[in-house]
Amino acid sequence: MKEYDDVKVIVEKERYAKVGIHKGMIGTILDPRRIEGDWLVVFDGEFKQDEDGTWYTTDIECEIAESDLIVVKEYKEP
Amino acid sequence: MGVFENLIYVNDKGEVASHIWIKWIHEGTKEANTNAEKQENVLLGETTRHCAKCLNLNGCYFPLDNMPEQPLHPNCHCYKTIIDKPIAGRTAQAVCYIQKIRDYAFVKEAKKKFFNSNGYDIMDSEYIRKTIEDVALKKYVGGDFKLGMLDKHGQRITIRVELPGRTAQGKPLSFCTGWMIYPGGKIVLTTPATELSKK
Repeated sequence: MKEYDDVKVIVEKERYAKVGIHKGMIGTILDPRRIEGDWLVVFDGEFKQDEDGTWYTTDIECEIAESDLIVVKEYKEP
Repeated sequence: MGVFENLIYVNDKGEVASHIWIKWIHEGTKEANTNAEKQENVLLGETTRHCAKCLNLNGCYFPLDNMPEQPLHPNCHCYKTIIDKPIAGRTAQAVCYIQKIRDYAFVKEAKKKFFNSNGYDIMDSEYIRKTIEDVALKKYVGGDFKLGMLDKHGQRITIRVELPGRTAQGKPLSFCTGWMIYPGGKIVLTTPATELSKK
């Protein structure tokens, strides 16, 4: 498991559910470090625009234990 | 703004940003300048009862009016020291790796559609990367960012960046980018499109 791999959450846990992450969701590792067994995973959301016209996303960023993830698409540098 | 660029920073809303900058100090431990050192700090925190969050903040620069709360927790012995305002390219740097644009933004469906519909494609990856870096660095040293999540991976900030407009309307493309703060005035892009604030 490494940065830019697409990963799937394989368990349902309260600490993930609290931020909107549930079993079966697929995200991308966006930090090269595994810290205390956790990867920083970003789950894609939608683009929205604020009152100033700035675009932002509803992406969810969450630290997830490696044991709670499986790689569904391994990143390979082009 | 010329010679006054490093003296006064006015954000997009016309607000003058803070000029007092501080360095977060966690005495007795070294600053984590690399990912490996940050990870060492987490392990150190486990064995010494030092707070991993504080260890990762050690040496990071913030404007006085836009910094994590101090003390961060009961018995926190971190302190801050006033520093010169960071200067872009000299005492502050922004790093956006090409993979974040080419292999992430232009691969994920929603992000790819967003950039494509605004006149940018994968061939523009390097241009986008460099522009994001330049704009974000200027805004970071101007204190024009929002504090985001702070966890064992570190302190995140959100910076609004603009790319030149490429649609018929010609309006600049403004969007939120997510960054991680490192010691010594360094910020590294985590994600090229993020929430308004992840606090």
